[in-house]
Amino acid sequence: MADSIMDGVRLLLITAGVAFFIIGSIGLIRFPDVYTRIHALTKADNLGLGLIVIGLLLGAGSLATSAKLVLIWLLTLVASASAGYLVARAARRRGVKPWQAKDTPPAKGDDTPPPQSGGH
Amino acid sequence: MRTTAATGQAIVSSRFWTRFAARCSALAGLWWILTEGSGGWGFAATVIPLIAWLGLRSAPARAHRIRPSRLPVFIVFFLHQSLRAGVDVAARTLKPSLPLQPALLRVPVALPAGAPTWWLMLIISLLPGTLSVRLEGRMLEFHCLDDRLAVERDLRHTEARIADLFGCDRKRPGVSAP
Repeated sequence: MADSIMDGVRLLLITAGVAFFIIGSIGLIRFPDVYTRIHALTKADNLGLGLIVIGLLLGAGSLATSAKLVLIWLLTLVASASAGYLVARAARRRGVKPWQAKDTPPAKGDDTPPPQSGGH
Repeated sequence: MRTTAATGQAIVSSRFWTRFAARCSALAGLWWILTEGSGGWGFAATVIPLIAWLGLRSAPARAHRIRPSRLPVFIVFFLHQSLRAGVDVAARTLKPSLPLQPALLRVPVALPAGAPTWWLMLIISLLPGTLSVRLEGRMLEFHCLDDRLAVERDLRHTEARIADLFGCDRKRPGVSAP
């Protein structure tokens, strides 16, 4: 009985994890520009992998295996956060403008100040 | 004068060996995890001290260190925020209207340069609606998915958590030198 409950919980966690991966991939297609797409991939996949790892931890036989799973998750976190940053920085350096919603006024953080005249 | 120098040398040396021992233990733990406890310790015993020694010799001393006692609070904070971030972005993806209002924002970083700043930049990319784009001096430029969210408040909150983790001070926002 307890075993089947545990199996149910694992199934739920792993399914939810896979769902977040799929949603992240949908975001990659639906989101309008490079910056927003990085958001979709890094955050949804981080949570998805986290849920899968927790699901697998519940059935991991040994402490070493559990530690390995957590280590894999940590390395993936660092890799996806740094890769996301590098792609965003490369896009910014090439002057890729962030997509903006059509019906909104220019955002307060817009990084393109009007050209200033009167330099010395 | 000479005594002071000698004592200083002794302190540096004892600190070196403490760090050497700590690094050896960490590497041994990593070896145990990677092999899932199945052995190979003869190889490990040769390589681990070598790597630990080379690592300490070649890398400059770190100015900021994580305080292990502060780690649990930070982990809980991080897990909670990861959950929020994943659910937030998933909800936006699945809504037919695709509610996005992106913006590039710039804020001065209040944390000291080095490890704390790097941690901030990596962590905020995994938090709800924020993504590090560029660091120019002490100004962090980041992309936010929706500027109606309280992203700046979240960012300051994260800074405070990282300052706690490293036991370092924060400058007041807005007073960073040009």
